[in-house]
Amino acid sequence: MKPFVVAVVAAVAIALGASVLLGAVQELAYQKFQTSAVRLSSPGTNLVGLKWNGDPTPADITEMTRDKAEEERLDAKGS
Amino acid sequence: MRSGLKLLSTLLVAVTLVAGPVAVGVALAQEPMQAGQNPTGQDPTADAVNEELLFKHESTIRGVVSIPDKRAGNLIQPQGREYRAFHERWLPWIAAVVILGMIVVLAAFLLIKGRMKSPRSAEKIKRYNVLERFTHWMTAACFIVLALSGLNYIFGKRLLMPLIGPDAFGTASQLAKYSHVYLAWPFMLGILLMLALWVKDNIPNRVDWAWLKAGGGVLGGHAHAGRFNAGQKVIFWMVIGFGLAMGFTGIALLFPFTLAGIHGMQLMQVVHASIGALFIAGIILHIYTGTVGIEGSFAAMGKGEVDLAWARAHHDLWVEEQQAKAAGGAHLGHPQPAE
Amino acid sequence: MARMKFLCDADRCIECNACVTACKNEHEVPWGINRRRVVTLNDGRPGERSVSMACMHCTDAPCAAVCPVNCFYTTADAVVLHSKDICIGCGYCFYACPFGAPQYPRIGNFGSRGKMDKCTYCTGGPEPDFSVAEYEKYGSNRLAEGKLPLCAEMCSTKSLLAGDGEMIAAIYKQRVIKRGYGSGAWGWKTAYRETVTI
Repeated sequence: MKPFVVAVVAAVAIALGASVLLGAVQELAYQKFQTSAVRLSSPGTNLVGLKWNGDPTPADITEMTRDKAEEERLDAKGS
Repeated sequence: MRSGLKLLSTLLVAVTLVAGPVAVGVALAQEPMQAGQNPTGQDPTADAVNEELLFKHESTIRGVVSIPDKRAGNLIQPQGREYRAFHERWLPWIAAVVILGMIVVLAAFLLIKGRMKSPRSAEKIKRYNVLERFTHWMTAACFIVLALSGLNYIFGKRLLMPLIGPDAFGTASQLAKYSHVYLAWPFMLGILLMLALWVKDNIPNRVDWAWLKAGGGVLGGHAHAGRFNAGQKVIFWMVIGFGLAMGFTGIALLFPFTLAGIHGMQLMQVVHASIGALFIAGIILHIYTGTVGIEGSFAAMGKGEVDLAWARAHHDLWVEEQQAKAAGGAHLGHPQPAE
Repeated sequence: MARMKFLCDADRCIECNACVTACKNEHEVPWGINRRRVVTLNDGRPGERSVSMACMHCTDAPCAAVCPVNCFYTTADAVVLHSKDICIGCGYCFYACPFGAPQYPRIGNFGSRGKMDKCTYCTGGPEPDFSVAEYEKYGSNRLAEGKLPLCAEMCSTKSLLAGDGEMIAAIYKQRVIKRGYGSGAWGWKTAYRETVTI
């Protein structure tokens, strides 16, 4: 029983380690596909969320982006 | 003076710009263009690229893009169809037949022949040390999760999704995917450790041939065997071979475009899924023989020591070897020093 | 209902990339993600042609078929959309797609490459029309406003056509008959198993 429990714990530990390491080598699209040209703003969060995982969870939606979206929506409706 | 000249030239340009199209328009009106005829008389498409022609040269239509993501230069790559045909039409059937087939065969065998009985004694003999059991269980635990999450990629949407609904299934699959991707690493480590620990006992030899000819004692009676019999050796080499293949193809999929391009990854996924199905079937056989199939075999990995009489029946040559070793040092039954 | 399609008249495309820019701006597509791109074939040689390509919203879409979580769905207008809430970012749609349409915010590894993003034909997603959540996840929803995709609307040479398949095919046919040539509807055979016959 003991080796089994130790084995499961070790497996989980290695998996967590792997997730941290893989996360560290993970490249975001805007880093990988960046150009040498001038960049006028920060990378932005629409469609990808703050963490750039494509998941704009409600906590990620800041007041600013919310306002912006709302504004666009009204603009779109108005025009 | 200078500004006057500039004004004049500007006017001239303006007049040409306005008059030009008008003149052309008049010309066109005088000579109505016939349908299907190009007014210049040349065929501007004489050497224009053409989808059909390009497909004759190559299976993918490639071009250049001005964005940094150069992979986007692949305009049309219809090979995804073959990948899709395999993934959706063949793979579920292959996986289902292989895995369910194995379960049915084993169940039938158990019903007809029953469990393989072994003699019992009071004495025990050490079979696997702590490191061996640790390696086995780490790999095994990872395999179970990898197999289930892997099967979820194939059968989840067909079986699980209608039961629990798309949202719950999406969340479950996300977790399954994380476990699949991250538990792959301790699994691969376990495969390498197993190779290092057990390769010396798994080199095929003449005893194995005799064991196989005797049917491995499946049909009654026991054949001679060393530490691992031929059946176990087959399982060992299957685990090593499939494990390395799964690791290699898995890593290729894990790091897109590093080891293979898009077609390479399609192929890797096909290999990964097919071997995965065979691997699961093989491991079901292994689990069967290690638990219900053969009485007393689970203790080997469970407790690390087995019944001496069981060992004599199944691994007679190994027991002799261990006892010969023990005769030199420790007393019988504990041929290896306690951990 | 209409059967929405894209058609790029390669003999008109001047590779100005306005469609790419329009799309990026309309949906606030982040850097590194291209829902639409312009591919130039035979670049710099005689017979060079450029084709603007995005998700073609295929008939019997391969991405939807291979998705292990069935996150794709087809709207009444035959637009292929997906739910980012269900998507697990596995990348199978990317392997299956004939047009390289699926994009991921993280390009590194399978495990955490994030939710897939692709052209929505300016139709948003499963969220309620014009909601903030819809905009955050999928961009704007022009179809619900009665407008066609911005890339095609913006096209300066009217090379990129969007709309009901039969209508845009008719427009293209008329052009080909009028001018006497045409290099065909790129990708239609692969996407819709049919081509514009003239």
